[in-house]
Amino acid sequence: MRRARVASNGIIQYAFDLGDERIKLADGRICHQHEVDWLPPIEPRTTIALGLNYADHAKELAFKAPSEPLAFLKPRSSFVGHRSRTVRPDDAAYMHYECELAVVIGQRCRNISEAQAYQHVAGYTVANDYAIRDYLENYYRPNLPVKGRDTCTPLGPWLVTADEIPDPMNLRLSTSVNGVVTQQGNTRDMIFSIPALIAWLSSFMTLDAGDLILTGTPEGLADTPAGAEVVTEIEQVGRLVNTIVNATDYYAPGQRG
Amino acid sequence: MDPTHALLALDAAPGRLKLPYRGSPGASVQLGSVIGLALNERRELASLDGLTSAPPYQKPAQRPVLYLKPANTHVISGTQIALNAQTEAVSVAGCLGIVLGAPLARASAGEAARAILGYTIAADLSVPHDSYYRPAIRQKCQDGFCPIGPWLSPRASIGDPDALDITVEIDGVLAYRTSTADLVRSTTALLAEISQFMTLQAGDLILAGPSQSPAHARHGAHVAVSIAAIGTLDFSLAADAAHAEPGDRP
Repeated sequence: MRRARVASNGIIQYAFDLGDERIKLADGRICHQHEVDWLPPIEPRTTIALGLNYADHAKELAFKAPSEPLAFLKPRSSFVGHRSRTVRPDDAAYMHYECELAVVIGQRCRNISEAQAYQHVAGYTVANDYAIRDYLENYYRPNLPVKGRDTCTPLGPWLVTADEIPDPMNLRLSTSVNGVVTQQGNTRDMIFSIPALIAWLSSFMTLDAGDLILTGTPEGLADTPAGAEVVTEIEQVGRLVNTIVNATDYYAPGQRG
Repeated sequence: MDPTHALLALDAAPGRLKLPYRGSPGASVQLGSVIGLALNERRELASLDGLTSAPPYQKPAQRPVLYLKPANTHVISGTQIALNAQTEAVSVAGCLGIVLGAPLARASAGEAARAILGYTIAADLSVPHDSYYRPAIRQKCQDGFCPIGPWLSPRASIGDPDALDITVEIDGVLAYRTSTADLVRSTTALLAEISQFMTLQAGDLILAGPSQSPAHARHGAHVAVSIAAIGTLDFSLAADAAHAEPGDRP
Protein backbone atom coordinates (compact mmCIF):
# COMPACT_ATOMS: atom_id res chain seq x y z
CA MET A 1 0.00 0.00 0.00
CA ARG A 2 1.21 3.49 -0.87
CA ARG A 3 -0.78 5.93 1.21
CA ALA A 4 -0.51 9.71 1.26
CA ARG A 5 -2.24 12.39 3.33
CA VAL A 6 -3.57 15.27 1.31
CA ALA A 7 -5.92 18.21 1.61
CA SER A 8 -8.52 18.41 -1.13
CA ASN A 9 -11.79 20.32 -1.29
CA GLY A 10 -11.44 21.33 2.33
CA ILE A 11 -10.95 17.79 3.62
CA ILE A 12 -7.77 16.27 5.02
CA GLN A 13 -7.86 12.73 3.73
CA TYR A 14 -5.83 9.72 2.76
CA ALA A 15 -4.96 9.19 -0.90
CA PHE A 16 -3.61 6.13 -2.66
CA ASP A 17 -1.16 5.85 -5.53
CA LEU A 18 -2.68 4.82 -8.88
CA GLY A 19 0.57 5.37 -10.84
CA ASP A 20 1.01 7.83 -13.71
CA GLU A 21 0.87 10.70 -11.18
CA ARG A 22 -2.77 9.90 -10.45
CA ILE A 23 -4.16 9.33 -6.97
CA LYS A 24 -7.41 8.01 -5.58
CA LEU A 25 -8.76 9.99 -2.65
CA ALA A 26 -10.50 8.41 0.31
CA ASP A 27 -13.71 10.20 -0.76
CA GLY A 28 -13.67 8.26 -4.04
CA ARG A 29 -12.41 10.95 -6.43
CA ILE A 30 -9.49 10.37 -8.75
CA CYS A 31 -7.10 13.33 -9.17
CA HIS A 32 -3.80 14.27 -10.65
CA GLN A 33 -0.95 14.78 -8.13
CA HIS A 34 -0.98 18.51 -8.86
CA GLU A 35 -4.62 18.95 -7.87
CA VAL A 36 -4.18 18.42 -4.14
CA ASP A 37 -2.07 19.83 -1.30
CA TRP A 38 0.28 17.19 0.05
CA LEU A 39 0.82 16.75 3.78
CA PRO A 40 3.52 14.64 5.40
CA PRO A 41 2.25 11.02 5.13
CA ILE A 42 2.38 10.64 8.90
CA GLU A 43 2.45 13.15 11.74
CA PRO A 44 5.74 12.09 13.28
CA ARG A 45 5.73 11.55 17.04
CA THR A 46 9.43 11.36 17.88
CA THR A 47 11.90 11.74 15.00
CA ILE A 48 15.45 10.49 15.38
CA ALA A 49 17.87 11.45 12.62
CA LEU A 50 21.31 10.05 11.94
CA GLY A 51 24.42 12.00 11.10
CA LEU A 52 27.42 10.56 9.31
CA ASN A 53 25.74 7.21 8.64
CA TYR A 54 27.28 6.67 5.21
CA ALA A 55 31.04 6.22 5.12
CA ASP A 56 31.45 8.25 1.92
CA HIS A 57 29.47 11.17 3.39
CA ALA A 58 31.46 11.10 6.66
CA LYS A 59 34.62 11.31 4.56
CA GLU A 60 33.13 14.16 2.52
CA LEU A 61 32.62 16.12 5.75
CA ALA A 62 36.12 15.18 6.95
CA PHE A 63 34.90 13.00 9.81
CA LYS A 64 35.89 9.46 10.52
CA ALA A 65 32.98 7.04 10.69
CA PRO A 66 31.52 7.00 14.21
CA SER A 67 31.76 3.95 16.48
CA GLU A 68 28.33 4.67 18.01
CA PRO A 69 25.46 6.14 15.95
CA LEU A 70 25.44 9.95 15.89
CA ALA A 71 21.77 10.64 16.51
CA PHE A 72 19.83 13.85 16.96
CA LEU A 73 16.14 14.69 17.30
CA LYS A 74 14.02 16.68 14.87
CA PRO A 75 11.17 18.96 16.00
CA ARG A 76 7.65 18.29 14.72
CA SER A 77 7.47 21.84 13.41
CA SER A 78 10.12 21.19 10.74
CA PHE A 79 8.05 18.85 8.53
CA VAL A 80 6.33 19.78 5.29
CA GLY A 81 4.76 17.60 2.59
CA HIS A 82 5.51 16.75 -1.02
CA ARG A 83 5.54 19.68 -3.48
CA SER A 84 5.91 22.24 -0.70
CA ARG A 85 8.36 25.08 -0.31
CA THR A 86 11.34 25.20 2.02
CA VAL A 87 12.68 28.48 3.33
CA ARG A 88 16.27 29.52 2.75
CA PRO A 89 17.31 32.14 5.32
CA ASP A 90 18.38 35.38 3.64
CA ASP A 91 21.86 35.25 5.22
CA ALA A 92 22.57 31.59 4.39
CA ALA A 93 25.64 30.97 2.21
CA TYR A 94 25.41 27.16 2.23
CA MET A 95 22.16 25.28 2.52
CA HIS A 96 22.14 21.68 1.32
CA TYR A 97 19.62 18.84 0.96
CA GLU A 98 20.06 15.36 2.40
CA CYS A 99 18.12 12.53 0.76
CA GLU A 100 17.30 9.95 3.44
CA LEU A 101 15.31 6.75 3.75
CA ALA A 102 12.79 7.33 6.57
CA VAL A 103 11.72 4.31 8.61
CA VAL A 104 8.28 4.49 10.23
CA ILE A 105 7.88 2.48 13.43
CA GLY A 106 4.54 0.67 13.68
CA GLN A 107 4.44 -0.70 17.21
CA ARG A 108 5.94 -0.17 20.62
CA CYS A 109 9.37 -1.74 20.99
CA ARG A 110 11.94 -1.80 23.75
CA ASN A 111 15.12 -3.84 24.01
CA ILE A 112 14.67 -5.70 20.77
CA SER A 113 17.34 -7.54 18.83
CA GLU A 114 18.41 -6.80 15.28
CA ALA A 115 16.74 -10.06 14.23
CA GLN A 116 13.36 -8.81 15.52
CA ALA A 117 13.71 -5.24 14.33
CA TYR A 118 11.87 -5.39 11.00
CA GLN A 119 8.78 -6.83 12.73
CA HIS A 120 8.25 -3.37 14.24
CA VAL A 121 8.49 -1.38 11.00
CA ALA A 122 5.21 -0.14 9.51
CA GLY A 123 6.77 1.24 6.36
CA TYR A 124 9.04 3.73 4.67
CA THR A 125 9.00 7.16 3.14
CA VAL A 126 11.48 9.71 1.75
CA ALA A 127 12.85 12.58 3.83
CA ASN A 128 14.90 15.55 2.73
CA ASP A 129 16.78 16.66 5.85
CA TYR A 130 17.99 20.13 4.83
CA ALA A 131 20.87 21.73 6.74
CA ILE A 132 21.90 25.38 6.96
CA ARG A 133 25.61 24.94 7.47
CA ASP A 134 26.21 28.63 8.27
CA TYR A 135 24.57 28.06 11.65
CA LEU A 136 26.68 25.07 12.73
CA GLU A 137 28.11 25.37 16.22
CA ASN A 138 30.00 22.77 18.21
CA TYR A 139 27.37 22.36 20.92
CA TYR A 140 25.00 19.40 20.58
CA ARG A 141 26.14 19.44 16.96
CA PRO A 142 24.30 19.32 14.59
CA ASN A 143 22.38 21.97 16.52
CA LEU A 144 18.70 22.77 16.03
CA PRO A 145 19.23 26.10 14.21
CA VAL A 146 20.94 23.97 11.49
CA LYS A 147 18.61 20.96 11.41
CA GLY A 148 15.40 21.93 13.17
CA ARG A 149 14.03 24.81 11.18
CA ASP A 150 10.45 25.29 10.04
CA THR A 151 9.84 23.80 6.55
CA CYS A 152 13.30 22.23 6.40
CA THR A 153 12.22 18.58 6.47
CA PRO A 154 10.07 17.66 3.47
CA LEU A 155 8.58 14.17 3.98
CA GLY A 156 6.68 11.95 1.53
CA PRO A 157 4.99 11.61 -0.84
CA TRP A 158 3.82 8.22 0.46
CA LEU A 159 3.99 5.97 3.41
CA VAL A 160 4.91 2.73 1.62
CA THR A 161 4.05 -0.26 3.78
CA ALA A 162 6.93 -2.59 4.64
CA ASP A 163 5.54 -5.52 2.60
CA GLU A 164 6.24 -3.55 -0.60
CA ILE A 165 9.95 -3.07 0.20
CA PRO A 166 11.50 -6.54 0.37
CA ASP A 167 15.06 -5.27 0.92
CA PRO A 168 15.24 -1.75 2.38
CA MET A 169 19.01 -2.16 2.71
CA ASN A 170 19.47 -2.21 -1.06
CA LEU A 171 17.72 0.85 -2.50
CA ARG A 172 19.21 3.48 -4.79
CA LEU A 173 18.93 7.08 -3.58
CA SER A 174 19.42 10.14 -5.73
CA THR A 175 18.94 13.88 -5.56
CA SER A 176 18.66 16.33 -8.40
CA VAL A 177 18.73 20.12 -8.32
CA ASN A 178 16.94 21.74 -11.26
CA GLY A 179 17.11 18.44 -13.13
CA VAL A 180 20.85 17.84 -12.63
CA VAL A 181 21.70 14.76 -10.57
CA THR A 182 23.98 15.83 -7.72
CA GLN A 183 23.77 12.96 -5.22
CA GLN A 184 23.67 9.21 -5.76
CA GLY A 185 24.02 6.38 -3.31
CA ASN A 186 22.58 3.11 -2.06
CA THR A 187 21.15 2.25 1.34
CA ARG A 188 23.46 -0.80 1.47
CA ASP A 189 26.29 1.63 2.30
CA MET A 190 24.83 2.68 5.65
CA ILE A 191 27.30 2.28 8.51
CA PHE A 192 24.56 1.36 10.98
CA SER A 193 21.83 -0.65 9.22
CA ILE A 194 18.11 -0.22 9.88
CA PRO A 195 18.00 -3.24 12.26
CA ALA A 196 21.15 -2.02 14.04
CA LEU A 197 19.62 1.44 14.53
CA ILE A 198 16.33 0.06 15.86
CA ALA A 199 18.18 -2.30 18.22
CA TRP A 200 20.49 0.49 19.45
CA LEU A 201 17.72 3.05 19.99
CA SER A 202 15.38 0.56 21.65
CA SER A 203 18.17 -0.43 24.06
CA PHE A 204 17.70 2.86 25.91
CA MET A 205 14.38 4.33 24.75
CA THR A 206 10.97 2.90 23.94
CA LEU A 207 10.06 3.43 20.30
CA ASP A 208 6.39 3.68 19.48
CA ALA A 209 3.95 3.74 16.56
CA GLY A 210 4.48 6.93 14.60
CA ASP A 211 8.13 7.34 15.51
CA LEU A 212 10.40 8.05 12.61
CA ILE A 213 14.07 7.25 11.98
CA LEU A 214 15.88 9.24 9.29
CA THR A 215 18.76 6.97 8.38
CA GLY A 216 21.35 9.44 7.06
CA THR A 217 22.55 10.51 3.64
CA PRO A 218 25.32 9.49 1.22
CA GLU A 219 27.87 11.84 -0.28
CA GLY A 220 27.06 14.47 -2.87
CA LEU A 221 26.05 17.68 -1.16
CA ALA A 222 25.34 20.86 -3.10
CA ASP A 223 24.03 24.31 -2.32
CA THR A 224 20.34 24.92 -3.02
CA PRO A 225 19.64 28.51 -4.06
CA ALA A 226 16.23 30.17 -3.89
CA GLY A 227 14.07 28.99 -6.77
CA ALA A 228 15.79 25.60 -7.07
CA GLU A 229 13.60 22.54 -7.52
CA VAL A 230 15.09 19.76 -5.43
CA VAL A 231 13.97 16.18 -6.05
CA THR A 232 14.98 13.50 -3.56
CA GLU A 233 14.13 10.04 -4.82
CA ILE A 234 14.46 6.54 -3.41
CA GLU A 235 13.85 3.51 -5.55
CA GLN A 236 10.54 1.74 -4.72
CA VAL A 237 9.72 4.35 -2.06
CA GLY A 238 9.03 7.64 -3.78
CA ARG A 239 10.04 10.83 -5.48
CA LEU A 240 9.78 13.84 -3.19
CA VAL A 241 9.69 17.26 -4.87
CA ASN A 242 10.51 20.50 -3.06
CA THR A 243 11.21 24.09 -4.06
CA ILE A 244 13.50 26.52 -2.27
CA VAL A 245 12.16 29.98 -1.49
CA ASN A 246 14.00 32.81 0.22
CA ALA A 247 12.74 33.97 3.59
CA THR A 248 11.91 37.52 2.49
CA ASP A 249 9.58 36.26 -0.23
CA TYR A 250 8.08 33.49 1.93
CA TYR A 251 7.21 35.80 4.80
CA ALA A 252 6.21 38.82 2.73
CA PRO A 253 2.63 39.79 3.65
CA GLY A 254 0.07 38.66 1.10
CA GLN A 255 2.17 35.83 -0.30
CA ARG A 256 0.41 32.54 -0.99
CA GLY A 257 0.81 30.23 2.02
CA MET B 1 3.92 -5.96 10.13
CA ASP B 2 1.13 -6.72 7.69
CA PRO B 3 0.03 -3.58 5.84
CA THR B 4 -3.48 -3.26 7.27
CA HIS B 5 -2.24 -3.71 10.82
CA ALA B 6 0.58 -1.21 10.20
CA LEU B 7 -1.74 1.51 8.90
CA LEU B 8 -4.25 1.00 11.71
CA ALA B 9 -1.45 1.10 14.29
CA LEU B 10 -0.26 4.44 12.91
CA ASP B 11 -3.80 5.84 12.97
CA ALA B 12 -3.98 4.86 16.65
CA ALA B 13 -0.51 6.14 17.58
CA PRO B 14 -0.18 6.72 21.33
CA GLY B 15 -1.29 10.00 22.82
CA ARG B 16 0.74 12.53 24.73
CA LEU B 17 0.94 13.40 28.37
CA LYS B 18 -1.96 15.45 29.73
CA LEU B 19 -1.33 17.95 32.49
CA PRO B 20 -4.15 19.09 34.81
CA TYR B 21 -4.77 22.80 34.30
CA ARG B 22 -5.57 24.72 37.47
CA GLY B 23 -7.08 27.63 35.58
CA SER B 24 -10.31 25.77 34.91
CA PRO B 25 -11.93 22.98 36.98
CA GLY B 26 -11.45 19.55 35.40
CA ALA B 27 -9.45 20.91 32.48
CA SER B 28 -6.21 19.46 31.22
CA VAL B 29 -3.69 20.41 28.57
CA GLN B 30 -2.11 17.91 26.20
CA LEU B 31 1.60 18.53 25.94
CA GLY B 32 3.31 18.84 22.57
CA SER B 33 7.05 19.17 22.15
CA VAL B 34 9.30 19.60 25.19
CA ILE B 35 12.30 21.79 24.42
CA GLY B 36 15.27 22.41 26.70
CA LEU B 37 18.25 24.77 26.65
CA ALA B 38 21.67 23.66 27.75
CA LEU B 39 24.21 26.15 29.13
CA ASN B 40 21.45 28.66 29.88
CA GLU B 41 22.01 28.60 33.64
CA ARG B 42 25.04 30.69 34.60
CA ARG B 43 26.57 28.05 36.89
CA GLU B 44 26.19 25.35 34.24
CA LEU B 45 27.72 27.65 31.64
CA ALA B 46 30.60 28.36 34.03
CA SER B 47 31.38 24.62 34.09
CA LEU B 48 32.86 25.14 30.61
CA ASP B 49 34.98 28.14 31.68
CA GLY B 50 38.34 28.00 29.93
CA LEU B 51 37.18 25.18 27.62
CA THR B 52 35.05 26.92 25.02
CA SER B 53 37.92 28.43 23.06
CA ALA B 54 39.57 25.00 22.59
CA PRO B 55 38.52 21.93 20.57
CA PRO B 56 35.93 20.62 20.15
CA TYR B 57 34.02 23.84 20.88
CA GLN B 58 36.41 26.42 19.35
CA LYS B 59 34.31 29.34 20.57
CA PRO B 60 31.46 30.13 22.97
CA ALA B 61 27.97 29.24 21.70
CA GLN B 62 26.35 32.16 19.91
CA ARG B 63 22.89 30.60 19.54
CA PRO B 64 20.76 28.88 22.18
CA VAL B 65 21.94 25.29 22.71
CA LEU B 66 18.61 23.54 22.27
CA TYR B 67 17.56 19.94 22.67
CA LEU B 68 14.31 18.00 22.68
CA LYS B 69 12.96 15.66 25.34
CA PRO B 70 10.94 13.13 23.30
CA ALA B 71 7.51 11.69 24.18
CA ASN B 72 8.92 8.52 25.80
CA THR B 73 10.57 10.69 28.47
CA HIS B 74 7.37 12.48 29.55
CA VAL B 75 5.82 11.15 32.76
CA ILE B 76 3.52 12.84 35.25
CA SER B 77 4.54 13.75 38.80
CA GLY B 78 4.33 10.80 41.17
CA THR B 79 5.74 8.26 38.71
CA GLN B 80 8.26 5.63 39.69
CA ILE B 81 10.93 5.86 36.98
CA ALA B 82 12.97 2.78 36.12
CA LEU B 83 16.67 3.30 35.51
CA ASN B 84 18.67 1.07 33.21
CA ALA B 85 20.85 -1.41 35.05
CA GLN B 86 23.90 0.38 33.58
CA THR B 87 22.78 3.77 34.94
CA GLU B 88 24.19 4.29 38.43
CA ALA B 89 22.93 7.82 38.95
CA VAL B 90 21.12 10.56 37.06
CA SER B 91 21.58 14.29 37.14
CA VAL B 92 18.37 16.01 38.24
CA ALA B 93 17.98 19.44 36.67
CA GLY B 94 14.95 21.15 38.18
CA CYS B 95 13.30 23.53 35.73
CA LEU B 96 10.44 25.93 35.40
CA GLY B 97 8.24 24.57 32.62
CA ILE B 98 6.69 27.23 30.40
CA VAL B 99 3.57 26.01 28.57
CA LEU B 100 2.21 27.89 25.59
CA GLY B 101 -1.48 28.53 25.03
CA ALA B 102 -1.13 29.81 21.47
CA PRO B 103 1.22 29.34 18.53
CA LEU B 104 4.33 31.50 18.44
CA ALA B 105 6.49 32.27 15.41
CA ARG B 106 8.99 35.03 14.66
CA ALA B 107 7.78 36.69 17.83
CA SER B 108 8.93 39.54 20.05
CA ALA B 109 9.43 39.03 23.78
CA GLY B 110 6.13 40.85 24.36
CA GLU B 111 4.25 38.53 22.02
CA ALA B 112 5.93 35.57 23.72
CA ALA B 113 4.75 36.73 27.14
CA ARG B 114 1.15 36.89 25.91
CA ALA B 115 1.32 33.38 24.39
CA ILE B 116 2.17 31.74 27.73
CA LEU B 117 -0.74 29.76 29.17
CA GLY B 118 0.96 28.86 32.42
CA TYR B 119 3.81 27.26 34.29
CA THR B 120 4.64 23.85 35.63
CA ILE B 121 7.69 22.08 37.06
CA ALA B 122 9.86 19.64 35.17
CA ALA B 123 12.96 17.67 36.00
CA ASP B 124 15.35 17.13 33.12
CA LEU B 125 17.07 13.84 33.96
CA SER B 126 20.35 12.91 32.27
CA VAL B 127 23.07 10.38 32.56
CA PRO B 128 25.78 12.86 33.63
CA HIS B 129 27.96 13.90 30.70
CA ASP B 130 30.85 16.37 30.56
CA SER B 131 30.87 16.90 26.80
CA TYR B 132 28.35 19.13 25.09
CA TYR B 133 29.80 18.44 21.64
CA ARG B 134 27.35 15.82 20.32
CA PRO B 135 23.60 15.60 21.00
CA ALA B 136 23.18 13.67 24.26
CA ILE B 137 20.49 11.31 22.99
CA ARG B 138 21.44 8.21 24.97
CA GLN B 139 22.08 10.35 28.05
CA LYS B 140 18.86 12.42 27.92
CA CYS B 141 16.18 10.41 26.09
CA GLN B 142 15.68 7.35 28.27
CA ASP B 143 12.14 6.40 29.25
CA GLY B 144 10.76 8.58 32.02
CA PHE B 145 13.66 11.07 31.90
CA CYS B 146 11.35 14.10 31.95
CA PRO B 147 8.90 14.00 34.88
CA ILE B 148 6.44 16.91 34.71
CA GLY B 149 3.79 18.36 36.99
CA PRO B 150 1.98 18.01 39.23
CA TRP B 151 -0.13 20.55 37.36
CA LEU B 152 -0.13 23.61 35.17
CA SER B 153 -0.64 26.88 37.06
CA PRO B 154 -2.19 29.77 35.11
CA ARG B 155 0.16 32.54 34.07
CA ALA B 156 -1.60 35.15 36.19
CA SER B 157 -1.16 33.06 39.37
CA ILE B 158 2.64 33.27 39.20
CA GLY B 159 4.53 36.45 39.99
CA ASP B 160 7.65 37.30 38.02
CA PRO B 161 8.69 34.10 36.17
CA ASP B 162 12.25 35.39 36.05
CA ALA B 163 12.64 35.40 39.84
CA LEU B 164 11.55 31.93 40.94
CA ASP B 165 13.66 29.77 43.25
CA ILE B 166 13.90 26.11 42.25
CA THR B 167 14.99 23.51 44.80
CA VAL B 168 15.85 19.84 44.31
CA GLU B 169 15.61 17.57 47.34
CA ILE B 170 16.81 13.97 47.25
CA ASP B 171 15.47 11.80 50.07
CA GLY B 172 14.49 14.92 51.96
CA VAL B 173 17.91 16.58 51.74
CA LEU B 174 18.46 19.76 49.75
CA ALA B 175 20.69 18.76 46.81
CA TYR B 176 20.56 21.85 44.60
CA ARG B 177 19.10 25.30 44.59
CA THR B 178 18.91 27.64 41.63
CA SER B 179 16.69 30.43 40.36
CA THR B 180 15.25 31.54 37.06
CA ALA B 181 17.03 34.83 37.86
CA ASP B 182 20.28 32.96 37.17
CA LEU B 183 19.45 32.24 33.53
CA VAL B 184 21.37 33.80 30.65
CA ARG B 185 18.15 34.23 28.65
CA SER B 186 14.96 35.32 30.42
CA THR B 187 11.81 33.24 29.95
CA THR B 188 10.31 35.48 27.28
CA ALA B 189 13.65 36.12 25.55
CA LEU B 190 14.26 32.42 25.07
CA LEU B 191 10.74 31.82 23.70
CA ALA B 192 11.19 34.69 21.26
CA GLU B 193 14.60 33.46 20.16
CA ILE B 194 13.42 29.87 19.56
CA SER B 195 10.41 31.18 17.64
CA GLN B 196 12.67 32.90 15.10
CA PHE B 197 13.25 29.54 13.40
CA MET B 198 10.88 27.02 15.01
CA THR B 199 7.14 27.60 15.28
CA LEU B 200 6.00 26.74 18.78
CA GLN B 201 2.50 25.36 19.23
CA ALA B 202 -0.06 25.53 22.01
CA GLY B 203 0.86 22.80 24.47
CA ASP B 204 4.59 23.01 23.79
CA LEU B 205 6.65 23.10 26.97
CA ILE B 206 9.96 24.95 27.25
CA LEU B 207 12.35 24.15 30.08
CA ALA B 208 13.81 27.18 31.84
CA GLY B 209 16.61 26.05 34.12
CA PRO B 210 19.80 24.05 34.02
CA SER B 211 20.12 21.02 31.72
CA GLN B 212 22.36 19.21 34.20
CA SER B 213 23.01 19.85 37.86
CA PRO B 214 25.26 18.53 40.61
CA ALA B 215 22.18 16.89 42.19
CA HIS B 216 22.65 13.20 41.35
CA ALA B 217 20.07 10.62 42.36
CA ARG B 218 20.44 6.84 42.49
CA HIS B 219 18.18 3.79 42.44
CA GLY B 220 15.71 3.97 45.30
CA ALA B 221 15.90 7.74 45.66
CA HIS B 222 12.82 9.88 46.17
CA VAL B 223 13.18 13.27 44.49
CA ALA B 224 11.18 16.47 45.01
CA VAL B 225 11.54 19.56 42.85
CA SER B 226 9.80 22.64 44.22
CA ILE B 227 8.91 26.10 43.02
CA ALA B 228 6.97 27.79 45.80
CA ALA B 229 4.49 29.60 43.56
CA ILE B 230 3.58 26.36 41.73
CA GLY B 231 4.05 23.38 44.03
CA THR B 232 6.21 20.26 44.18
CA LEU B 233 7.00 17.72 41.48
CA ASP B 234 7.97 14.38 42.92
CA PHE B 235 9.14 11.05 41.57
CA SER B 236 11.18 8.07 42.61
CA LEU B 237 13.84 6.02 40.88
CA ALA B 238 13.64 2.25 40.69
CA ALA B 239 15.65 -0.55 39.15
CA ASP B 240 14.65 -1.68 35.66
CA ALA B 241 12.51 -4.62 36.87
CA ALA B 242 9.65 -2.24 37.65
CA HIS B 243 10.11 -0.61 34.26
CA ALA B 244 7.76 2.34 33.80
CA GLU B 245 6.12 2.42 30.38
CA PRO B 246 5.93 5.87 28.83
CA GLY B 247 2.59 7.53 28.31
CA ASP B 248 -0.36 8.86 30.23
CA ARG B 249 -0.51 8.12 33.93
CA PRO B 250 -2.94 9.12 36.61
